[in-house]
Amino acid sequence: MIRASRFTLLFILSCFVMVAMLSAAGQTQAGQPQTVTVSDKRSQPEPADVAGAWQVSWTVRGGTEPGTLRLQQDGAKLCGTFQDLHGLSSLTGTVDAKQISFDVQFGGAHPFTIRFIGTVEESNIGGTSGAVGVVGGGAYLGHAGEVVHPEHPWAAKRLANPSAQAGESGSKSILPTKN
Amino acid sequence: MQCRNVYRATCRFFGLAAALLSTVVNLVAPPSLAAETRKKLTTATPIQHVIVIIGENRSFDHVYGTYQPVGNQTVSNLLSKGIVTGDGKPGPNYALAQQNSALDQTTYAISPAGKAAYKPLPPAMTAGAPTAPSNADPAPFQTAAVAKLAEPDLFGKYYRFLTTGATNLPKDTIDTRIRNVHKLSDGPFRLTPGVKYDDYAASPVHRFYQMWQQTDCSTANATTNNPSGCLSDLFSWVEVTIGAGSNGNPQPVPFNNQTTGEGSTALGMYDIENGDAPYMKYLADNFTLSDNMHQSVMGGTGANHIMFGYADAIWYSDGNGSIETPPTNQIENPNPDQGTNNWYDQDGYSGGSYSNCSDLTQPAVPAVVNYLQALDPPISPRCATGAFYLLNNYDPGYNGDGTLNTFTQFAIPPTSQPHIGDVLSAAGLSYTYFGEGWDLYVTDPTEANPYDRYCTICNPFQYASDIMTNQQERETHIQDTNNLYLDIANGNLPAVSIVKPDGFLDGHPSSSKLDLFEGFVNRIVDQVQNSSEWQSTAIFITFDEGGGYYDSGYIQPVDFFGDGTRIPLLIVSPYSTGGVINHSYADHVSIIKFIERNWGLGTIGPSTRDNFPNPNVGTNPYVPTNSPALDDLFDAFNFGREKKK
Repeated sequence: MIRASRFTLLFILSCFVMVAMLSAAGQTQAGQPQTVTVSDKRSQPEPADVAGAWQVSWTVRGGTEPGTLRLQQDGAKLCGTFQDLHGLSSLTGTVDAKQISFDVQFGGAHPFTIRFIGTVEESNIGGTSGAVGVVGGGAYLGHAGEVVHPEHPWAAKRLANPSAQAGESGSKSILPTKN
Repeated sequence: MQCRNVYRATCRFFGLAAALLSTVVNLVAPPSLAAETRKKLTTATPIQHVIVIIGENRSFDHVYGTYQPVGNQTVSNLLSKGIVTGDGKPGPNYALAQQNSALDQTTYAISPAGKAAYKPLPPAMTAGAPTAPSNADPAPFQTAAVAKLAEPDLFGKYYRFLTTGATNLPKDTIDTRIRNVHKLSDGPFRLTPGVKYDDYAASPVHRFYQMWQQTDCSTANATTNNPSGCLSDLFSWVEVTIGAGSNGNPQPVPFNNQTTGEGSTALGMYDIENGDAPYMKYLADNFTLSDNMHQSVMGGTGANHIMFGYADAIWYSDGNGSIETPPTNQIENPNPDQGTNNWYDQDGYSGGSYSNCSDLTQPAVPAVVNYLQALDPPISPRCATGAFYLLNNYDPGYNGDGTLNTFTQFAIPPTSQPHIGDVLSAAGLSYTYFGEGWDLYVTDPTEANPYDRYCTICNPFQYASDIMTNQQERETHIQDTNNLYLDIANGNLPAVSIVKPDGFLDGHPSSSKLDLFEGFVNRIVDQVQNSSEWQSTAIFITFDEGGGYYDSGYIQPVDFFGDGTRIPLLIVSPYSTGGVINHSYADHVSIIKFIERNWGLGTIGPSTRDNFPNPNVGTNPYVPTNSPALDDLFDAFNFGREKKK
């Protein structure tokens, strides 16, 4: 128990340091990430093990972009980084059994926060994403009256080689191709 | 835990990379456009600068349906035709705008049979209009502070419009804000006051084959005053039978008049004589309004902006100028699925968008080509052999930084077809496409950032290899709107400026509002009027298309691609004052013709639309007797000695 408490303390500290360093690097925080508290761990299945590196394929309004997710885990709590076309961004979140949720805080001139939610199935994660704070849905209506990717799906596959990097233009999508 | 170490290592690497990149960029960056010497050639008029501002998705009657011009001017609109009364209610000739259902169950037809009047219209719906304010995505925003952060191009009173107008209704539900929405008459109805002018509302479908059906053109209906025989009486039917497309999916079960989420949105209209669109009215009262301007392509945003840039449609290629056949699932097939009434087999944003209109065995092509050939005189489809033309919205082949767009399969390969920029460059004339949000988009090519509302498909030059593969060309000819404001202030406007608001301000229903577009235009007009450039500048304010909204005006078929419905065109300059209504037949290419004539330039290509003659007319000023014909808009100005070409 004592060892677990020290571990938790170290986790919180390292996440705090990471966020502070990202801020110092000029990546403004757009909003406070929402953390879901698991009320009674004894009655819940063990959180899925998601620690490590994941290759991400994320579909947004303009298409599907690659990224690399690096997750650190302490029980149900997560922190880490997301590397994609926008650079390196910090994240915090939770994992509850197979359900994962984390907020990525993107910096730049117009900072924004995206919440990714999904389901973990061994070495794969799949789910949807949306800007934090959306009321009434985040669908963008296209220029011919069509709703474009309203669910903003994402998928991740555990990287066999954790040092591998995605996030460069042209990386192959791992999402199923429509039609 | 390793968060700290992982981050340190990653940051170290990327920090060094960023520093190196910054150094390289600074070394190779070209001199600013402001410092570039601009060549001024002799012009046929006092106009040395043309500014074209393109909004989104409003037909002429949707905005100016009840407009009453100043002085002794006349206008062709719903009110003047007696379709509606002065208060927007059904008028004595309301039947001229009657909407019908139809039957199309075997092969795609542009004028299907089995028509029957709707009584009442299917109720209008909310489609994707925003339910409530949000500070993240999309507008309206919860606070003015976030609105100002997201949108730098407004001023003064207009900012509050970014925080108002949510529907407070679910998406894809009946729009109960509209009066008598369950008992709508079978034609145009007033949006206001039930839907406030400042409210968001649904966006009707406006795709290529849908719009050919909506306008219902047949030589069997041709008359002297309407030689194209277009009746524009199937707007609601197309909305409720196919809407924005199938994307190759089967028709949903169950399926009814509300399944597409639109209902009869297309028949909604504003009442400009009773307070709607006040700045559009001010400009019409004081400058020149065309009541015979048309969207140049049946359908939506991309194809119409392309026609404005190329005076032609562009086709699928190998990326190096050779014609190729696109993937099967990207070829249009609007033939109805078996057992359905007008549910297209393959059409949509993630589906069919190309047609080879030179091949009569291709789906839907005979429906349009045979109609064109039956007209008197016959109209050439103007389709290159074997070419699959882009008819609807696909992304350009390039990202903002000039790399190839590999983020989506629904992007047209880079094109080598000539465009108006080539003509201007060859003559040594300056030109810039000012796209609001361009700077943010270049760093956010997938548009993951909810504040990124730059319009990729609106920029005709973003499709072009000769611009996008050359950094200096790219940076000279494509810039953010903040540079436009600087150029006006510094007396350094290019000869031709094409100006596009972002998605928050472009006026597109559902994602924007007309009052926000008014604010965008108002800022530019005021700045130009108060600058040294005013005496030598003409501002053309128009829209990409009618957005799928009904219009009662004459449509001239000029080739396979269009024209489509009328759209507003305002011409603001010291030489187009007085509230004049110009009746000459025009489309987007008319502005290209104005530029070419003003600077004594050649056409873009030997068979592009800018080769069409100016219209000759008989007793009806709206109907060219020498089709296909497009006005060059010189007659919309009073230059004194100038005469029509």
